[in-house]
Amino acid sequence: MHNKNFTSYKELYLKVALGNIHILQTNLPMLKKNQHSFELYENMHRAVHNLKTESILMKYAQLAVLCTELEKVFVQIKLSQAPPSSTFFTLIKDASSHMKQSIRHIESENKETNLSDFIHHVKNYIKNI
Amino acid sequence: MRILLIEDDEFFQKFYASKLKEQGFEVYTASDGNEGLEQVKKLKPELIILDIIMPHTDGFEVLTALSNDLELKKIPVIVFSTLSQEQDIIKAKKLGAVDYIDKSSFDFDALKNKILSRIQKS
Repeated sequence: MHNKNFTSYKELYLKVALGNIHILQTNLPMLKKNQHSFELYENMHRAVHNLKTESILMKYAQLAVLCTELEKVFVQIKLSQAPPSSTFFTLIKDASSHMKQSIRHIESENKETNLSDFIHHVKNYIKNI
Repeated sequence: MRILLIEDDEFFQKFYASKLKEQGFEVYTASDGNEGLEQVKKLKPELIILDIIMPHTDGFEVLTALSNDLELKKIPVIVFSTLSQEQDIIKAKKLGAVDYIDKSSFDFDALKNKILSRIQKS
């Protein structure tokens, strides 16, 4: 249930959320070419982190949960210090697409899309890292 | 009362700046740690609200820089982040933060009370 106290900030949220998703989408192909770039990982991790917090505040729970799981992916990649697999790149690409779709749905229908299946997929990916 | 909000995320910067201004505070903003440090030296705010995860110079580095300046270290800093992990709170406090607020569990009244409490103490 969306808290009406934050309704006035919805437009700002939508704009900034799309901006954070754009950071993921533009940094991902660059990371594919330069897989040891700490700065690119940090840019993407920070984008996911910010989107998570914004979504928590605005009560978009599924987006918040998805971003929480994606943060774990970035943490694991950094800890392993190994180059990310092709599965990682597909995962982040798909995540960006799902999140963008959800943001657009919030814009038009005032509610998130159902991300539970994809969240489950991300959790399975994390288990197998 | 001058508050400097150092926060890289546009949503949170605008959200908290407008909330604080509604309460009558004079709010200045900076979008990263380096800009924040420049603003601190220029404005000498009464209080700093500081995010931790920021590009280039993060909140911990800002705290370290402030603590190394005899004048600036007197300015109270409330650390503002979603890192609600005990080790980050401990680290921030060791570096000079006077308080901590988890911005993912938004409670503006709690933030306002902490700000007013810090002003009274200083």
